[in-house]
Amino acid sequence: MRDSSRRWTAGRFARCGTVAVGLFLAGWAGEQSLAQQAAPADTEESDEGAVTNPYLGDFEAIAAGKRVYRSHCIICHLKSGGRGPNLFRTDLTDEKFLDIVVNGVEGALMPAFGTKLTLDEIWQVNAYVKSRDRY
Amino acid sequence: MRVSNLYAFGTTFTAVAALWASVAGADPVTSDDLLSAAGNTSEWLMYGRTYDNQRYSPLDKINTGNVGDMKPVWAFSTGGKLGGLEATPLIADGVLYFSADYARVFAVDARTGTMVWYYEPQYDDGMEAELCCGPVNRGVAIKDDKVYVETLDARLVALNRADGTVAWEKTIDDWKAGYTATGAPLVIGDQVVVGIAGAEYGVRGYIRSYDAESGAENWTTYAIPGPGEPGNDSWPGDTWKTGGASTWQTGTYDAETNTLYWGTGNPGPWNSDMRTGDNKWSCSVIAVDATTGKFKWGYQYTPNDAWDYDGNNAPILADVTVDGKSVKAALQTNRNGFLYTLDRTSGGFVNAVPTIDGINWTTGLDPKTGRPTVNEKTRALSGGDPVKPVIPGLEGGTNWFPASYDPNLGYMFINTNHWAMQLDAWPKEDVVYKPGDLYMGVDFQMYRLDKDIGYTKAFDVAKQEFVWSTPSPLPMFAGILSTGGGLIFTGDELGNVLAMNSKTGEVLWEFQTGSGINASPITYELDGTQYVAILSGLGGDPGFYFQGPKGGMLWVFSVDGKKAKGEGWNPTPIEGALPQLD
Repeated sequence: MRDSSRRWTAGRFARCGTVAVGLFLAGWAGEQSLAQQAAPADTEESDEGAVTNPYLGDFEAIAAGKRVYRSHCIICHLKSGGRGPNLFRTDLTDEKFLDIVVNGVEGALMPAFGTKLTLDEIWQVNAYVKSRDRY
Repeated sequence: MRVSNLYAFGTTFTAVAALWASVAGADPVTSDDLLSAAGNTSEWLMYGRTYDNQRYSPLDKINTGNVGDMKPVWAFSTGGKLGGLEATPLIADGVLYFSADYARVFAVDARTGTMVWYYEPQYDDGMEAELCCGPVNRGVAIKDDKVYVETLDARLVALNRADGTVAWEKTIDDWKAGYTATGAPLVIGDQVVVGIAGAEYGVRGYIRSYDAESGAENWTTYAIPGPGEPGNDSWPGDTWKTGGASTWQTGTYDAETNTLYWGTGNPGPWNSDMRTGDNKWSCSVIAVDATTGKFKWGYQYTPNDAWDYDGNNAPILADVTVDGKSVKAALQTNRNGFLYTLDRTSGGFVNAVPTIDGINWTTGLDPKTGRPTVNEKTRALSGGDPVKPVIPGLEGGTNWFPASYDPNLGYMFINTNHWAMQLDAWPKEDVVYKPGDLYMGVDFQMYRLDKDIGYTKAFDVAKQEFVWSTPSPLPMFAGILSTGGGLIFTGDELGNVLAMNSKTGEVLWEFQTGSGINASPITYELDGTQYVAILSGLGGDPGFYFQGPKGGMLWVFSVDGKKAKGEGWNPTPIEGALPQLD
């Protein structure tokens, strides 16, 4: 039977070739403090140990994020919300945003994009939606 | 409680399989049974009840006089992730067979509401990210001792009717390239015919026939003609390869001429100026020889579609008189806002009537051919300004939900929606095909126009005019059943099952199911009592526009029916959670 509550593990990420996310999740999925893990180069930590998006405000990443948004997100989130919430007004932390995109949302229609998008692409789309309050 | 715990079915599986012995008969459903389904009022053996897709039952024990006394007899939870229910249940030999979200299949004893068996397809991680419109499924098909279902990841699975075990399964296509499946299969003779979804992902639509017994592939007919075939030149360059025209709704069969009719979806990408030409046979109905799949004719409702006006809703076949002339008609209510009467022997246009007010994407249809004159102000050009309002919005008109036809009244009953949209087409260079990614190229925004959006309407086919209209504040997304009791049944997104007087549209009875209804009702007679059954569970496209309580229930109603004591879907103990106290 499908256990839809399971989380992504490092091994599964490694198998699908998303190594950076796999390294990152080795700490995250295990619910250990990330401070205890070697953080990958492209993921920053704040003082509190939260995972934050290194691309916020990065012009190229925002442009790339727009392409990602149009290739994967827009069918449900539309320009200002639809089947999914309006991401341009999201108040999710970077870490929670990453969690939701990678794993999906249990009991909701948000699917898991962990095998489809790379960590870079998720940060890019996060940078994009946080760069403006509307599409 | 975690839903997954409810799914620990390993132990109950064998227990419920044993129940099969107590379920009456289980006679095979033969090809002849399917052909003569019209006279079989005690069962509902295929998606549209009969091959002509009329969804009309002569049953009249529930009628305008007593429908007010109708009550639920039993209900059954489909549990799971509550992704929305869109199916038409089937009933054969006292067992209801239906699919829920994720193409999960249930067999339930209709006398007791006890689950006989349950089948849950397994999916690869990431598959759900490849679905345009939710993890929905529209139903199963039955033949002989098998039940057929199309899984979301585009497999055709044959289940053994006795116990729900897998007899065989075939991969229809590669979901990673955007090919998915949500429709109910159609059994014709010894074949199972399926379509595919994915026009928002650059697929090339087709219908395919499999041998019902072995699963061997018989034939495949593409909705978009290949090189050298008539109509291929309606696509510039290689655009036909990724041109959409998906086939995600079940077709219609005419045994008299052995013709299969199948609706096709929108072309892709949505930027119509990237595929100048008619783009045959997108937004069309195609007629093929049911034995060989050979193309007979096509009728294109919306050439060079720029508005996502899929033509998937299956035509209803009826022999009617229009303007004093006999017509072997194919009746189709469309997302583009028109209801078409076609000559099904030739694909010739007879007439089309708007189902809603204010249609503005066309300034009118050619009275001889039905070809629309496009209002170019409603065509979003790549990289150009957004266009709005476009009426109807891309959901229609009438989206996929099945209509019904009462042959005695000569009325076709439809649900249709009156709303609008804005379209904003990206610059061409931004629209790049990549297998598995969205290939839309256009942003859309739907708009409400008025207090009411949804309408249930009756159309007098002979007079080619609507005779009544009953509004709903929310879009209507449920199928319709008409009966010899002078009634139609449908459901709304507020959660109500509705019974209306088929002559007047007056709502005579309603029942709140607790979640929006976007599935199709059926009726059948069991042990002398008439029942009505419908699935309730908000999901699919209505979920784009309204948040409401999710659900997943099969509801069964009658006026005076009684249920034998049954078990439903019994919870199974969570290991170690509640041991017996010594």
